Amino acid sequence: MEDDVLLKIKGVSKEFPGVKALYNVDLTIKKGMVHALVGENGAGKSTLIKILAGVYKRDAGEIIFEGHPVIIHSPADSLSLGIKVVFQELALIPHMTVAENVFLESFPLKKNKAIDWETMSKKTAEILLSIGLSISPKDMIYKLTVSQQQMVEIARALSHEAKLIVMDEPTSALTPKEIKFLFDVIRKLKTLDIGILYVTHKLEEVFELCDKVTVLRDGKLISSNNIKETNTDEVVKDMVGRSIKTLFPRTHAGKGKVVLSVENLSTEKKLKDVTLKVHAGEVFGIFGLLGAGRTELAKAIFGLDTITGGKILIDGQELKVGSTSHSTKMGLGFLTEDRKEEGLVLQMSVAQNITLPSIREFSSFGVIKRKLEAKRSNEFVQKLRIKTPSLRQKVMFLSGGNQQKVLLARWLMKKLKVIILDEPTRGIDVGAKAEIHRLIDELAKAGLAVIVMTSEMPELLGVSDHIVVMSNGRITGEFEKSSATQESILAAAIA
Amino acid sequence: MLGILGQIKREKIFGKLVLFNEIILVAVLIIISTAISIGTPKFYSTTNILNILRDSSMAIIAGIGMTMLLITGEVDLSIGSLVAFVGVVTMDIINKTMNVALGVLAGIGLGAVAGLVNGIVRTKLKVNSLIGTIAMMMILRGMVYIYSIAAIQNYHQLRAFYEIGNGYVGFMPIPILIMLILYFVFLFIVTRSVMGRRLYATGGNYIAAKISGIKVDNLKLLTFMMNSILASISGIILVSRMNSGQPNAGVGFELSVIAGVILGGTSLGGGEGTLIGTLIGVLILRIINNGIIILRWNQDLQIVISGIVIIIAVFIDSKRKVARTKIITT
Repeated sequence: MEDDVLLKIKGVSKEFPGVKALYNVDLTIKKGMVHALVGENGAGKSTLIKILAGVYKRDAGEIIFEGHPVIIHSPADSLSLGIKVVFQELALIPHMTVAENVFLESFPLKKNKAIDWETMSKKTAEILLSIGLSISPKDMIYKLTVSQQQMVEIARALSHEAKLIVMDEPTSALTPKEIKFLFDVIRKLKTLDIGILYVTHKLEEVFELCDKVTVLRDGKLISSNNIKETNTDEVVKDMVGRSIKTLFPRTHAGKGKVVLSVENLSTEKKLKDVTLKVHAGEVFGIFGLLGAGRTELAKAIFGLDTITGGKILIDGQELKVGSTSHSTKMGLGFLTEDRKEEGLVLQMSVAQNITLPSIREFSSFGVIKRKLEAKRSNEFVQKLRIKTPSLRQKVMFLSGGNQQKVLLARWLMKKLKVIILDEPTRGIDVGAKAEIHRLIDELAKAGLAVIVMTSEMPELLGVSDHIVVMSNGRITGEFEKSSATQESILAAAIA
Repeated sequence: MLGILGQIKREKIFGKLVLFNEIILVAVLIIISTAISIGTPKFYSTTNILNILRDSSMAIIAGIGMTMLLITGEVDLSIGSLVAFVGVVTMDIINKTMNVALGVLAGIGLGAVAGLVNGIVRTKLKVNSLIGTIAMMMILRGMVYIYSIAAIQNYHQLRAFYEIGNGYVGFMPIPILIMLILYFVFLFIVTRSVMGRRLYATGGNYIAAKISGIKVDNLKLLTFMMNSILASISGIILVSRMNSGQPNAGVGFELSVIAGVILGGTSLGGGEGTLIGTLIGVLILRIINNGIIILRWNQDLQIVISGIVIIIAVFIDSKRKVARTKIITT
């Protein structure tokens, strides 16, 4: 019975200054099984896998790998045990070949200690073939797609004869086709008796792929069930500690006049002749797969990227090309896809991040009225239920969902006419997701034109009144909510 | 329960880390001063302290601009050459016009132009400021030699010109007075004004600042100009103190200013830094230099020690960052 147990974690705890990240967690992973680890942001998933990877040391508890208690001090320890963690940020060297990356930790050597390139290529080719990946061992990493790079990481695990592969949100940057391929590969790994710990937010993947699901919440183990004995509702309930009835409480409001109109917009690299009309009070969904040009469109409209043709009008008034400051003045806001890189000023406080675009309103003669700033930003912290110990807390210490709310607060405070939300719920937990969907609804009700760009079909269908589909920088489909189906949208997205 | 208490305690300690840097700096300042004064009683004389402050005033004035520039994520290595150029031009104009005000205006004007060029190279030509201002350092140094290979002597020995660097208001040396006025004006700008807030935002996250409607490139350009104007004020004080325009003045000035600023806790990565730190950082370096002189040690040690101090400061800075990122990634 115990023979097929690969990894047993017993009572593992980990504390960071101010946070109890893991508390007395047990977990058992069996050979040849895909074990899902789910939980909201801050539930302790990343801490747990970082302990397995040797990035963090546990404070208490036991890790038993293949029947022996082990101590993992470093990533090298973890790898030599046969544990390979594939993180979201892939750890590949872009300017080396596939083969060099696969054998990075231990190049095969000839007798005279020179690198045996031939064996390396041959072995890499074998591994690539075994997972059905059709790239050459000599390809450079930076030329590969994200999905292919991920496969190289898996190949790397196989070259080390890994027995446990941990995958952290592996599908977050993949297209549906690539996801299908990844799942096929994972199923192949199962037949090799490799155990897989699959960390994800996406429950549909859990039920499609995994054998068992373990839920963490606030660093504690909540439940661990066989897939067949549970269902989505139960898992969601375990994750958030309450059941969410409606993920998308869209209450219909009438749509007003056209606020934003984009005419024949083109950019050098991506966009071709994009024309849109967005009305006040409407949630305007833009769908597209990775590389379809959604983010490029958002950036071009907002004036971040230079355009080669076309124009953008707000309330009939043309936006100055390439001037973000004019765009914000005209009432256009932009919530970027990448919170940390393009949204937040991490070293600044919660309040300072919220008031960044509207700081002029809290100043006279260029001097900031700090009390007024604190008062107004506090209103938004309360209203959006942003969890922070104080307004002066640096925004970097907040959880993903709360950071996203800080960014929303920033634009709510600015009193906009149009707001573009690019992947507003990416990487945030189910609870915060629902709150953000509620806010989107509120914004539209308040008469804003809300553009939501998303690659998540349920979100798109749930939240939008009007849907536009992009592919390859063009608009390839346009639907009213009533007439949109998953099939028709996808068909347009791959056109 | 114990866990929660421990948590609160740690949070408090962590909250104080922000002030930590300044406290350490003040402690270092006190330790070094005490050590020197044990070595020689001359250190704590009023004359010596006013001397240190007067000598520091030029680096502090330039340090104000450099701090702001580093906060926006840029740097300017050309201010040493600029100081020489400003000195030579100011002296020359005063010689030709017998008008101190015109000379000072010319010097400041030259600074404004140099800053404008640095700013345009950075924001319009998109040249990395480290490279762009090294080039500017060479260009300005070359131009000052072309302007005059020999030192420009003070022909008229005008009283007002002498006063800038050597005069007193009451007991207060004028350079210190100029420094204090500029320091408090800019302290207010950096900590309380919209512009100050935008400096931090721009350096902390350029794209986020841009998306928030801040004219980031204009702001950077303006900061380059302010930095150069402040450096040229230092140059004018220096030329008055040297009583002649020296084309080879200010060599290494930019580095000693940057050393003080970095020692003061301003990050090379942008988005972080305080003028208080800069003040203390520059003073520490100057006190060390002063100590080396009054203890009659080899003066070339000054440069060596400045170098060592920079390495230590940046090392501590990177340690602090590592400690912080560890907390973020949880």
